[in-house]
Amino acid sequence: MAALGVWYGRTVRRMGRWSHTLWFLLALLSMWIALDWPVGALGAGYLASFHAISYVLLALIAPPCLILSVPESVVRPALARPYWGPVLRYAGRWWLGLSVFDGVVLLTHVPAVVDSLMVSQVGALVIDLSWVVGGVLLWWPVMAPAPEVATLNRPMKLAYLFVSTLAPIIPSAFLTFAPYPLYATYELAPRIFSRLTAQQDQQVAGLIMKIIGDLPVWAGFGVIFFRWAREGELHPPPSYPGVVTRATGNS
Amino acid sequence: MRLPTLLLAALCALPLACKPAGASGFNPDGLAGPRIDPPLPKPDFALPATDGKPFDFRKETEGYVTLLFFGYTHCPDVCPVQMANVSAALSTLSPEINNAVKVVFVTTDPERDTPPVLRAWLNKFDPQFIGLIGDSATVARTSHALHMPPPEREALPDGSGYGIGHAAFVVAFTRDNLAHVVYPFGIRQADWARDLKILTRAP
Repeated sequence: MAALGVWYGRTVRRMGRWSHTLWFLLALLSMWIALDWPVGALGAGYLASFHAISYVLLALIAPPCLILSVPESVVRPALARPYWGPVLRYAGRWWLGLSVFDGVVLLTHVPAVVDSLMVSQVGALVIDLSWVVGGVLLWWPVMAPAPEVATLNRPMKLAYLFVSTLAPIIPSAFLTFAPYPLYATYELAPRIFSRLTAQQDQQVAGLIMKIIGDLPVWAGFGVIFFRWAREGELHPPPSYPGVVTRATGNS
Repeated sequence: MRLPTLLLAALCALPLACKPAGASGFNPDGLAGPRIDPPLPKPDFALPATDGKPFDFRKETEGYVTLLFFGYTHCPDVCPVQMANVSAALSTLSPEINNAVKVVFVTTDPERDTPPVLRAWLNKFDPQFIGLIGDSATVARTSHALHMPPPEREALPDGSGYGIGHAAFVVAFTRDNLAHVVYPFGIRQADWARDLKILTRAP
């Protein structure tokens, strides 16, 4: 991980700032915590709550860190390329990001899907990768380094982030309020903590998914909102007697 | 024309009356566990319970739905999960159903599962669960009567101790003192809850 960080730092030093390296390291750290002992190992077959922690890290923390680690000077030349340009622009469509993320979240919490994929390492990897990809597509329209990709204006970004918190309510509600454990993977696993039943573990998973999972989204919401408000203070729209003007609110 | 109609109705009802059933008429079809055919009679044995008093299995469980399981407290996976799932399912059911069910756990490791150890372990799941500690011969004979393999001691690969190979299923006796169904490892809590309602309604 350290080696990757050094390599990335040297690579982007010419094209970006030290903060890009920092975001890259944070993305790596998030993914490492999500996939390695104890979170990854326990979440893979013992505790639903730890799998929920992996979800938050892989879908909602690592992707924005990864995006923030890419300098604009790397994205701009890519946008001019015949293949990457259209792909990067298309990935900035807000409806694509929302629909893929929502679909991934809903599908990767269906009991039949979880129980059939989690029995194998490849299946677990499919779930983890889908979370990362879904997370990148979710955050790309909001924070892509190039403005021609992140085309949503600030009010739309705020609305977009708010809507992104709605779909996870469905699986988290089932996890929290179901009368019996939903996933055989965790129900039939040996108990790691004897005082934590499978049902309680599932309830904790639901709460982590919704409450902790919403924090990165609301953090992004707050950053965008306060930047927008600050911009409004620094550059108030000109006022003329009898004329009402509107601020554009673009990022 | 009334008689032919009645005869026709009786002929149509005949297949319904011919559903396969155990000797008591209880039909285990639709239950989550595999069916035992023909049903097994309740074994006749007596072993000391965790309070030191003798427990006559047939006599003490007469009139109850009885879940009989052979396991040991050092079991890393099957035993705690089976007991936890039965306990969790019972906790979602009415007091009437709980009062109609007895869970009997017979240890296959009498050397380590002393009465206090077994009692403390069972209490983690349900203080009402009955723990029996017996000699290997009685346990083996009872297992044989239930068509179970006898428990077998196996050294652990790292040499740190031993495990006990044992049958992983729960034998469910209805009030007719017959086991119509067994519940292997892997039965979910929701299935236990549904089946216990059916088993306690059986004659």
